[in-house]
Parts: sequence; C-alpha cells; structure tokens
Amino acid sequence: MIIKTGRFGSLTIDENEIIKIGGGLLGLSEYSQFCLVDPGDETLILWLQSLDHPDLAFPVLEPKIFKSGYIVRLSALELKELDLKDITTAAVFSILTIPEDVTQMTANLKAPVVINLTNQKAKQVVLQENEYQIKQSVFKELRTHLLTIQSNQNRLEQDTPQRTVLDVAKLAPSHFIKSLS
Amino acid sequence: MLVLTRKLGESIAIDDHIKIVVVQIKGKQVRLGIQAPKETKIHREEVYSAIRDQNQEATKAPSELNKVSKALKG
Repeated sequence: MIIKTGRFGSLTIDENEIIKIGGGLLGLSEYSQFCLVDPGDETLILWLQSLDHPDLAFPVLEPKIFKSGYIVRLSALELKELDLKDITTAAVFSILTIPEDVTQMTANLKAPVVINLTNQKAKQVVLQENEYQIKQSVFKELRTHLLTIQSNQNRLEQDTPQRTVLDVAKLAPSHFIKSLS
Repeated sequence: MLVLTRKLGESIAIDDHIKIVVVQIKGKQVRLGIQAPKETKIHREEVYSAIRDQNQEATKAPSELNKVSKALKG
C-alpha cells in the first residue's frame, strides 16, 4: 500500500509495518493505523506516522536514551489488550513534543506507547508512578547522547538522508517492561 | 451515570475487589480512600486530560526535519 505523508512524501507500507493502536492515542481516537518512520537524520528520533491522515505524525524516542531506570508496569488488562504474552517482545517509545524552539522539546514519560512486536498491536498506557512527567525536558540529554555516539564512531556523513519505514518485528525489544499482577 | 449518596465513613464496592471509602469531608473537598488490587490503575481525571492535551501538542512538531536535526547535532 502506498500512502501520502506531509513530512516524508509517499511511503510504501507493507502489512508487517502497520502498527495498530486500537482506540488510537488518548484524545485522538479516530486514528488507529500508524507506521514507524526513520527519517535517516541520525537523531534517533523516529516518527509514528498516521496512515489515516498524511499530516499526522508524532516524533517518538526510546526512553532508555534519556531516562535510566525507567520501568513500564502493565496491568493484566493492558497485557490482554496488547495480546502480549511475553513481555520481552515489546518495544516502548515516548512521544515527544517539539516546539518551534527545538531546545524546549519534552518527552511524555507518564504515557508511553507500547508496541507488541509479534502482532504489531500498540497502546498508549498511563503509568501509575507520580514521578514520571508528562513534560520531561529531553533536549540536553539527547544532544549529549548523540555527541557520545558521534565521537565513538567515525561515520560517513550521508549526503541525502535515507528514510525507511521500519519492520515492527525487527524493532529491538525494550527490556524494562514489567507486569503489575 | 449511577449516583449514590454516602456519608462520612461509608463506602461503595465495585466488583468484588474494589472499595471506595469517604474518608473526610471538608467544605468543598472530599477525601476518598481506595482499596483495589495492585494491578488496578487509578488516576485523577486531570492526568488523562493533560495527556490528551500533550498528544495534541505533539502533533504540532516542526514540518522541516532538518531544523530538529541541526539543533540537536549542530
């Protein structure tokens, strides 16, 4: 299937790349089908692109990059909704809010998106922990992380970033998911 | 919506495992005690509305991606 997007032009999407968020993200129930786009800009920020609306895309980031000790505890109901039988086969992403002043970007640690890598079902879960912020500033941490990667690897600069739609089954599982029950 | 009247110290039961007790009434504030299995998630409604608002904000990311990458890598 070919979809048109505002940021990434036309994308060819395979069945195994479709992420299904039953009931959508909170407050955006009308959009339930997404794919994960790596724009190839080497910022580690991926984009959860809606298949239903070309201009709807959420920047997302793996929380392990900027928050150590982060734990996502899922209830029995959430595990059931995701049809997640093995908690080691899921990935977690924080939704980023990137304002015009990019240095003010924040990540939502309170309500991450969990993706079951075996069936592509995903859900935005609300965590009980009060210390997890809805607006956690993240620019400094991400920038430092990127500088570390850059100094460790002498990579060739790409002339034109290569955008790719990611195969859900090949995403790296996050190993900080726990079951509440 | 089911509406029940309760006095101080009285409670309501939801299913077999969830109990909500009126702990204190002070002016316009009511303190509730909630007993529930640990896998039950309990939030103030404001948490959900704040997350809904934040999701809306997140849809407004800059459309020029190189603006973001320049700020991060420059």
